[in-house]
Amino acid sequence: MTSQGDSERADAGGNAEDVLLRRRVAELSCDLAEQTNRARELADEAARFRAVADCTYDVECWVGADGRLVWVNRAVERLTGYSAAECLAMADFPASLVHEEDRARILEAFRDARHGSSGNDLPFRIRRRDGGLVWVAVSWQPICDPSGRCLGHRSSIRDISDRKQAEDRLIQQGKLLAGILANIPCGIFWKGRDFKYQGCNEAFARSAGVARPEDIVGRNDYELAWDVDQADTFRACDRRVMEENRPMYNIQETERQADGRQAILLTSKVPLQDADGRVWGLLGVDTDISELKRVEAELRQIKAELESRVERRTAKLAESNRRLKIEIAERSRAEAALRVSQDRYRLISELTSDYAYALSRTVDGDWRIEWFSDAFTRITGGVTLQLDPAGGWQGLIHPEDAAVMERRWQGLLSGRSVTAEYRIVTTAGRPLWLRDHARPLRNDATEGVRRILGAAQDITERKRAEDQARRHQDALAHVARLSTMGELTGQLAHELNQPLCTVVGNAQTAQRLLASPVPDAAELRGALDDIVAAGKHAGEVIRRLRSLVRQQQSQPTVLNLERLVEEVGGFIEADARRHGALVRFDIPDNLPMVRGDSIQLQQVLLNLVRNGLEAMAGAAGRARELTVRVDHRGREVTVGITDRGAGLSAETSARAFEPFFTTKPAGLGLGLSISRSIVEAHGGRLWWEPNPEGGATFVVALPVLEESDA
Amino acid sequence: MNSHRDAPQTCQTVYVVDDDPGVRQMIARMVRSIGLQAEVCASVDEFLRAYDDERPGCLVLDIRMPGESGLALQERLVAKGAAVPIVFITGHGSIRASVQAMKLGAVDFLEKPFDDQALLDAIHKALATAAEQRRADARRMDAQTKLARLTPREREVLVLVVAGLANKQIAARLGTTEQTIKMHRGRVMAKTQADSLPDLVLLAQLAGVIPSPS
Repeated sequence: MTSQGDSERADAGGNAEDVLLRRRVAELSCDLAEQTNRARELADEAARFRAVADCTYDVECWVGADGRLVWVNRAVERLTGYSAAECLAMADFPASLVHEEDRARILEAFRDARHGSSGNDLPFRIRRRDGGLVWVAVSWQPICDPSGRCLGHRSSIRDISDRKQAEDRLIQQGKLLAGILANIPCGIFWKGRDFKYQGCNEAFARSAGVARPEDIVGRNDYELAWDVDQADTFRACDRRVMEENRPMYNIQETERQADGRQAILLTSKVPLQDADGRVWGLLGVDTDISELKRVEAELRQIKAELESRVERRTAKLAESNRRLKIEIAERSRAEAALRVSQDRYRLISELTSDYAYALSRTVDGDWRIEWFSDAFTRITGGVTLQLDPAGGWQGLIHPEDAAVMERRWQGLLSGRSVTAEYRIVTTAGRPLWLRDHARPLRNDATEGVRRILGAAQDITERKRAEDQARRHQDALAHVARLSTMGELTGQLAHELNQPLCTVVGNAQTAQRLLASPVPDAAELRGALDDIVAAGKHAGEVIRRLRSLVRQQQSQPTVLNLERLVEEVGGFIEADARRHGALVRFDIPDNLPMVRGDSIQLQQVLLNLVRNGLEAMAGAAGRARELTVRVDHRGREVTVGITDRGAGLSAETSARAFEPFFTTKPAGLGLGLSISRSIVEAHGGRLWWEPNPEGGATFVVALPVLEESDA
Repeated sequence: MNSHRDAPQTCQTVYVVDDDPGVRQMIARMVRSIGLQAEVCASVDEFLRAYDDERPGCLVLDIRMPGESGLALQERLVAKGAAVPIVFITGHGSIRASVQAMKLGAVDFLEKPFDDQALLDAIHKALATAAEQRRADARRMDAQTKLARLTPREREVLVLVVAGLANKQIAARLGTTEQTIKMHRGRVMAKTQADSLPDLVLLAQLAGVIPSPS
């Protein structure tokens, strides 16, 4: 409206100028409108290009001549994870996003690009915002203004991940195929229609005698390791396959190998066709079956060997079967012989006085008789056997030997072998002495006794003989004792004289004391006490004397040697006094017991003591000292009587124990000989030995009483 | 005889040596019943330990004992000059032993069992002997003491005087004057406190300078 008002004012002032002016204004305004239209068109076009660029699938960007990103499209966010604005803010896009390994290469390309180069499809990897890698390829061109000045360059970056994956797969497949070809235990080859090899694998190359598979390319069969006629066969076969377009499988053929070995091969050949179905060559596969053939041959041989072995074994079995039959025949002969021998033993057992038996314990702990030999019935007079709970032959044992049997049984149950002598009473009422040796059996130390095996012998006759011998011995010992007593008379008189003197003296003193006006009561009592003691002592002497003199059957009892020595101690001391000698007793405590006849053993000791005293009586100038030493040595108790006499001369020592040998004018020469037989009858020993300091020691050794003999 | 009353010294000790305890106690009791002291010993060894030279007494001794015998002890005591009177007792007397014992001066030799009076008499006799011996010992000691006071020259003179020589003879024997001998003689008499020549002779005999007439 305003411009319309101004033109009206110009019309009113001057017309030409005014028209000219008006025309100019009109021209200008027209020009302005045109200009405005063109600018609008340009803007529209730019918007269109930008929309196209922005919407392009690949990344498009413009990098200025200074190397800085000028523009980038939206696709960059899909590819990298960064928005276009973020990329524009980066100082060195896209270098900072390039994978480290590719960075140097890409930076170099960018440098070249700044200097005006162009590039196409350069692959590299981009590190995405999420850390993942993307394969891309970049292409770029420089941008110049119409005057030719470089304004930087544009580049497009394309995602080539899929292409890369396909490439990788292809490479892997190639590698797999190459691996198969290299490692398959077969020779693989392919030839063209001209019969020339086009390739093979390592295995085939080795057998063909070429260094590497590629060396075979272009050669034919006549140029390889095999013989000419072998090559002929291959050629004929190849021709058939290719001309008839028909595969041949498992052709067995012999092939000389490069190493000179004749291999047996199993070969298959397949025609190769192109897309039009025309045969252009063949593919062959051979398998070396030499090893298989060899193993087969070996197996065949092994089989043959096995068969021959079985044959031999069968023969052996037949042989041992034959021997076994012979052996069985022999055994039955032996058994027959054994029966004869058993009969013989039975006969022997019936004829001897021994019988054997076995007892066994039942599961509930009772004992029963397992078996006994026939002799038993004969010996015992055919009693009905019955075993009592204590394992004795019930009702058969002599009542006086019940204790012996009980000890024997306890010993057996505790696992010891026991030898016992006891009496049984036969059904006819006759007592028989048996010597029974029994042995317990058990499976191991922890278990109780399971069985008892024993043998017994009728020793009645022996016992009778022993009894008789003992009676003779007793009689002889008595004679010797009487003779000893005779020799002891003087000393016995002294032994009685002492108490007698004491009695008389004290009595007279008592009378004297009573005569005084005021008798001393204490002295009187003392005198009377001494009279009583001396009287008793004299009685004791007489008792011992009488027991020594009395004729009696020997009565073994359990003895303590200490007591025994004490018993004769009085006589020994009296005897020693008469000989002006000193007696020393050396008796330890806790001596084990012995079994014996007290009187007879006293007699032995007295005898040895008297000998010792008499030996010293002859030797002047020495201290007369006699030692009686009791000792416990292992399984024996010993009494040693040591004198300090002159010892025994050679002749005396040789004959000392002979009966009627004596060195004494009044001696009978029976003392030592009887002493020895007494000691030996007790199961002991009597000997003498010289002392280092002179004189002799006579030693009586008696066996220690075992608990089981008690 | 009744020795009981003329027991010279009641303080005397009777040593009883016997290995039989009954016998030695009985003897000791018997000894005590007449008012004497008794000391019992079981062996010679024990006696030798208990015996006191200063205590007068006698010994009742068993002949046979273990260890040293009674006879051996007697020999030992005689050899030592310890004249203890001994009464021997024995269980079985042998003639040989009794002869030997009596020879060596045993007072008596009794066989067991003995009469109490026999033993007590023997003990009294022994004690009397012991007392007498003691008195004689005392006189001898006295004489010896007196003679010990003499000079060697006076001793020479004494020997010749008691031998009965006159002064003149003695002077000639010793090569000196009669006058000098007279002087020596006077000094001898004074020192020995002898009243007379017989007195001097007795003294010389007691001291053992000249042999006793027995």
